[in-house]
Amino acid sequence: MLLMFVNSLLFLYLFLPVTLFIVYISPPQLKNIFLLIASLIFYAWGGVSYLLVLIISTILNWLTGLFLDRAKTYSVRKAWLIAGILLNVLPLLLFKYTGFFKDNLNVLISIFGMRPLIIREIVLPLGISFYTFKAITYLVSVYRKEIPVQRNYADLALYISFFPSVLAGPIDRYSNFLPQLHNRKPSAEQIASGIRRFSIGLGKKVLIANSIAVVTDSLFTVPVSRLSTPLAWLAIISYSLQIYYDFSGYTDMAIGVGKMFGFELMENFNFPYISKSIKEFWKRWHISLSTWLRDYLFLPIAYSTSRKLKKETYLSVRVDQIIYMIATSITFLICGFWHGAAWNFIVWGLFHGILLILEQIGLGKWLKKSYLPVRHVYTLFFLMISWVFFRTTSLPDAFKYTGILFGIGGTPANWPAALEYFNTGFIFTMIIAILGATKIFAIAVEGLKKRISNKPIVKQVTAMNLYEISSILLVIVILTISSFFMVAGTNNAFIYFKF
Amino acid sequence: MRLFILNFKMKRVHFIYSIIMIVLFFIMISFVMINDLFHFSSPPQVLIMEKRNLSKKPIFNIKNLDSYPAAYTRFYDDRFPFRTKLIEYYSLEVCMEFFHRSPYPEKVTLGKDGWMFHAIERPFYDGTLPLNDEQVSLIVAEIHKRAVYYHDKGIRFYLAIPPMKTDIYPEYLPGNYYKVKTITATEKIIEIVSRDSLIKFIDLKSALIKAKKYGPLFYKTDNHWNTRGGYYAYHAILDRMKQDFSALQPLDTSDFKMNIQEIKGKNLTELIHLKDYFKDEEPTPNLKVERAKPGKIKGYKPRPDFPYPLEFEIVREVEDTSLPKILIVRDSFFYGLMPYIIENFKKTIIFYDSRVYGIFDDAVQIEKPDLVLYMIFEPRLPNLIGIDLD
Repeated sequence: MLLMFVNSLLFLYLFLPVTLFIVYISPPQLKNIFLLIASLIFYAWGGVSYLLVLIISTILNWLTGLFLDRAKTYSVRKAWLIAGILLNVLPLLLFKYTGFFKDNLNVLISIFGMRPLIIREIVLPLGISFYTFKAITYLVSVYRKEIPVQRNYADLALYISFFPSVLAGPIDRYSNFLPQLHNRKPSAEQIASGIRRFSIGLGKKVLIANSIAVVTDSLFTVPVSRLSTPLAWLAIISYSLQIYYDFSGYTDMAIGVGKMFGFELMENFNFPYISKSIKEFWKRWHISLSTWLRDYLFLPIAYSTSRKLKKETYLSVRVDQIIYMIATSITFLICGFWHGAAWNFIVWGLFHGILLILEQIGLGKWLKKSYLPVRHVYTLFFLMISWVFFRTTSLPDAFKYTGILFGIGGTPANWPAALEYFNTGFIFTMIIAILGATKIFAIAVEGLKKRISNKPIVKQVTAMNLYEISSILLVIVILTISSFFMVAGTNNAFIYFKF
Repeated sequence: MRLFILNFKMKRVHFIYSIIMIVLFFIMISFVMINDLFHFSSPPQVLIMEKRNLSKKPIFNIKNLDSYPAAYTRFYDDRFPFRTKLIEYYSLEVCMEFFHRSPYPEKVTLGKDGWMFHAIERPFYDGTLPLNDEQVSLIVAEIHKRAVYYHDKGIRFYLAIPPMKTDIYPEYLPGNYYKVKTITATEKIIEIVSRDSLIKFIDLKSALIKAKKYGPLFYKTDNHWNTRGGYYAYHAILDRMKQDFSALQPLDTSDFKMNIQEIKGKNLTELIHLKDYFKDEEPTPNLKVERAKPGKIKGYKPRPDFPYPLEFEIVREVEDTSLPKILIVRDSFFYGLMPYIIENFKKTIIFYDSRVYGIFDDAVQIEKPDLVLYMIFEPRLPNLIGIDLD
């Protein structure tokens, strides 16, 4: 399968200019139709057959929304909502989790000497985890009467399949998208800001994430038992940066393209690695998913649990903490499972859940009183441990790998072999990546702006000119170098596309 | 008032630059379409070592939609302006100069001191080649089948397996290269065939390891041995054959003078599109007496997809009736020892049949060789059962 990634030559030099041109010159009433057609073509590029799944999903959600809206009583509305959620979740279960359930069931039935189940491997339709969540958002919003039902099929289909975000988010809310559907007039400043954002995202992915990926991938192909502690650390530090630049780069591109068409998509990242706790991390990492999970899982679970628990304490534990524990555990179990149909993803989710619970019941208070670097080290340390479970391909490997990080198992440290990875290019990329993951560049720009604001108007305008010129030059340089990498490079897939 | 003027001026500046950015961006992303109209770049082409043709524009067929996007993407990528130049520049400046890494690690591994290794050989070296015991047995059975065929015709059957550069020069491998399994699939095959009484197995690996002291036996930038390595392999082969054919006398190092000349990078540099940027050395043996002359070829036809039809059949003859006649089925490794081996036989009939290593029944019936030599490069052994790892 050859996708039309947003960082592919075909997208950048054919699909994007042609789509922008057609949408810009088309009359207002046709703009959304052309965008929908472009989105379907974009999606079809990753598998024409799976376009059918997407189209059927949009039709069923549109119809469910209409029925839900027409229902007179609360119970019928609820029934339609449940039916709608099932219509979305069942295909996801079928396509994404059949293999997982089959494999685990086979392990179980083999104990009883029964024949294993044989089910043909099912290919996961692209972006199904993302567009399913978008569709559920729509249905829940209609159910809660937060928004009017969408009677125009094309508008709903565009929301679900909008090409910049259909493959890996952001999981934009329908309530955010709806007002922009018919009332958007992209200004020159918005388009230019989209271009800037897209270029930065492209650079993050092609120049930083892909360059780091060469080292990460080469280290993760080493059998776990052959790894040494320094190499294991190098691999997981590199991967932590790779996944951030890969995913946030994609998000920047999606948001940037959205802006070019006059849409303001939801933000997804806010310097997650400067977090001082895991709780803060989830406010800064994959924000569209974490807020989705909060609104559609955590809060409903917490609410329904609170109605069932009558006492103020259970076994000396306050009821609000019990509610938090239950809701967090379930939410992060599902969060892990959403990322991948494998035990290591489940453990990854639960690991985060446990850390959040610990922070809630006391660790958080201790952290707040701690020296700032301790809080950063704590957060980064546990994040990196959690990425081990995210990156390795099996649970036993993940545990072995974690052991090696602490010097248990693996091979003795081979420093010359480890140092071979530290060439000029890798060191340079890592330095840029580490600095870019902090707010240092943003703070520098803000500081500069502040200093200039006290200067005479002429100087301020000159500074503004310089800023704008460098901004244009940066875009040109990033686009040129990235295109050059894209022509020759081979490592182009986004990590989050497989989810 | 000051603030108002400032805001107005700033907004105007921002607007103007936004327009400039939009215009420039559109020009940039329309560059390929503009090039299609005015043809600034040379016609599209693929690099020689990509070993493929330029992708053709796929025909849109409603009945076969699934394959269209991938085919069109390939077609589009192949036609990107200045593609070949960009790839060369990327390989040299970005990968080699800046990152000090192979531009295509899946093709070429960069070792120490400028030594390069063919990446497809890695699973053979480290033992991770996914050949199961059944496949190993099938490969052994294929070799045995050939041995039985020649034995039944009264022909002696020799098997020589040129070793990989990784096995002879592991000291130049990068630090992250190591053996995963203690015994590899090919070592298992060699172990079994060397016990087969119908197969006269010649251990080239040991011979070459012993000969390392005489100078580099492999090119730095090629996965093949050079004619120095070829000579010591030849010597090992002749030493073994001499046990059955006493007339065979291998050439001594005093029988030729090895001339060394500097050349451009070899096949591994081609794989990373950097042939012109690397140098290597080519040892060429100048024989004091050259007895072998080209013989008449019979015109056997290679299979239709064979890429080197002119080299498929080679015949050399020496006017010495005391010498035996040999038929050789070989792959590209044979070039390293060809200058020597053709001097030792009355008639040498050579078939270049990498990937199949067929039996050549017709040639055997007509030529009636006294001995047959199969030279199968280690990573080509799975080809005997139809597994091609290229």
